[in-house]
Amino acid sequence: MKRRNIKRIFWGISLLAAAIFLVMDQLHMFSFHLGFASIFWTVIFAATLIESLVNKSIFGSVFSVAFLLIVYAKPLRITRIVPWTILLAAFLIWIGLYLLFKRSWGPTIYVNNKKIKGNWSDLGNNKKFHAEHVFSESDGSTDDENIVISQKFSDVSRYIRSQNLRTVNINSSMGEVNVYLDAAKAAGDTVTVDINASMSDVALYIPLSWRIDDQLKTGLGGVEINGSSTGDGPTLVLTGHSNLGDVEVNYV
Amino acid sequence: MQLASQFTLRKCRLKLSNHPDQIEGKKNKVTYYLNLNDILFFETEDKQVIAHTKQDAFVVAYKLYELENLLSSQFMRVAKSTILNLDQIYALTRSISDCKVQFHDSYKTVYVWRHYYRNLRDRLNERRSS
Repeated sequence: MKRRNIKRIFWGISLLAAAIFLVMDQLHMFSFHLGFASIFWTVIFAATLIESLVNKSIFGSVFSVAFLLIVYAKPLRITRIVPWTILLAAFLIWIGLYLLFKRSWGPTIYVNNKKIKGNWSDLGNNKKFHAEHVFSESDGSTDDENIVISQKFSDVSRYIRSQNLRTVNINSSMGEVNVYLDAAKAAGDTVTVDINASMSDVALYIPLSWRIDDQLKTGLGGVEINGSSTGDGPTLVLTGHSNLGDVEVNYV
Repeated sequence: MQLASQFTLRKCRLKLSNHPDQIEGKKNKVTYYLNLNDILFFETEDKQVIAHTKQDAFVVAYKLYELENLLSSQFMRVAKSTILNLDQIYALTRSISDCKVQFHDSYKTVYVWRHYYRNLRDRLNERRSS
């Protein structure tokens, strides 16, 4: 998986950098002296910070920053407030941000029509929530029950031919996603299409017989349904949220 | 060697050795003979190659790179997983990252990868002037 590689490269490079720093520091090649422990903790917390930011995890980000501040208390001249004041402040900031943003931050993920808890990074990783197939840029649609389409900064058309479809997860930012379900068949009475989209347009193309149950939350955008159902097929349940973009459902 | 002979065998199955005008496509266990002119694009889907027509889609028993060699200059590779029929292009919409292709009387769309875009424009210009 592409995302796995990026993660591996990221950790590899940070550990290499840490090793180089450590050796140079012990040889006193820097004008300041950091010490073994602080370099070690810097690498750990910088890595957790970046990972938390990617996952939009408030807890991880706030506490990583707090611990970094504690490690660098001396050069930053904040020794008076470490560690307990900073930790308490971080705790309060976390509670505050959590109350403010809790609802809109996590992705909604549906598998087999059931909502499960997940991280943003899971959307690129099929093993985490047992979706049988996760799309990356290179591959096309497939014959599985749960289909995940993850797209950033680019446009994509996906033709789904699954004869046993239950859920489609669409995760998109800054792009256009066209999903063609006209050749697909539902496994049960409902097909859940779960959208996590920001600044992107999502267009769904569905067979005439399907009905629509729109539960999508939108912010600065809307849902447009073109055409009408003949009403004897499965129900397409639209869930999730779309911000700054339109969702279009076309009957074909 | 075996691969090569298999390849030529398949080539023969395409009726004409150089540039065929029909191709076999399967859908629900029925084999259809499709005119290549009707095909909008070929796309790989989970290791299968799918030939998309205006309203339909069929499974084709070739790999994309085989099709690339077999088909005439009417077809062109436009993305890692897509071969496009240049005769069927109706509209191109350019954006920063790629280029959207629309077809006559069809709701289907396909995207040309940035890397192939210039090449595609050149090919289209050539065809218009000739």
